[in-house]
Amino acid sequence: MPSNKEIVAAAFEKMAAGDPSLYLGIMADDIRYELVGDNSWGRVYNGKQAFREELGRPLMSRVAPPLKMRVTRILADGDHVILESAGENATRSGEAYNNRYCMIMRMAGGRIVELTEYTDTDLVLRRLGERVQPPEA
Amino acid sequence: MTTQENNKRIARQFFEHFDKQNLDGAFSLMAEDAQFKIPGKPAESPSAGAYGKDRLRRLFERVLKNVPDGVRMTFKSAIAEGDMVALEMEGLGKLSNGRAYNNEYVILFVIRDGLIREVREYNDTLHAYNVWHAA
Repeated sequence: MPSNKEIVAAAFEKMAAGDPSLYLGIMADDIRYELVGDNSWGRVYNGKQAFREELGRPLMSRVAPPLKMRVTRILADGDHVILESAGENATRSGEAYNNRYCMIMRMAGGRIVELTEYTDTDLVLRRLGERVQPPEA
Repeated sequence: MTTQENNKRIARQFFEHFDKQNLDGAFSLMAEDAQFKIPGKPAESPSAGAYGKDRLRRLFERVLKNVPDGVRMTFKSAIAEGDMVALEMEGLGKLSNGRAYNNEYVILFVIRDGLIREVREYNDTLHAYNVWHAA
C-alpha cells in the first residue's frame, strides 16, 4: 500500500506534464475543496462534481490548457499531506500565469477528502478576472 | 519531545510573539541569515519578495504601527516532517484607518537546530492588497 505522500506525489507527477487524470482520480467524490480568498473564486466547493464544474471549468476557460503544476515541496504527517507547487501556465490570451500554490490535504483510504488551497489571489484576479461560469458545452 | 513537535512549537511561538507585539522574542527564533518570502509578484504587489531579518523587522514594525492593538493570530493546524513545518492560521487586526485586516495563512518553515532558517508565506494576497494598498 503506497503512503499518502506517494499517492499525492504520483498524481502531481502527472500534473507537471499537464495530465490531471490521476489527481482527479484520487479525489474522494465528496471532497471538501476550499480555495482560500475573499473573492469570486474563494469558497468551499463541495464534492468532486462541484470542483470540476464550478472551479475547473471557469478556470480552464481562462487558462490555456493543459494546466501544469510542478511540485516544489511535499511533506506528510499522519493523515495530512502538504503540497507546494509552482504553476507554469499562460492565459488563453497569451499572458504568463505562473502562480504558486500550497495545498493542505487530509487523506482517508488513499483519497483526498479535504483540501485547502492557498494561492496568490491577487494574481488570480489580475490574470484570470472574476470567476465566470462558462455556458454548457 | 520529538524534533518535529519542537519545530511546530517554534513556528507557533514566532507568531505568538508577533501577536503580542514582541518582535525581539520573534526575531530571537530566527537565524541571522534567515530568509522570509512574502507572496505575490514584486512588480504588482508592493510588499512581495524575499526579506532578510532586518528588512522583515522593519516590515513588521510598519504593520504594527498601523494596527495599534496588534494582530490576533489563531492557529488552525501544524504539520511537520523532517525540518519542515506548515503552519495554518488566521489573523485579525484593525488598522488605524478603520479597515479590518483578516487574512488567512499557511506558512512553510524550515527549522534546523532550533532556529528558523527559511520561511515562505502564502496568504490571500488580494485581501492584503485591498486592505493595505488600495485607494
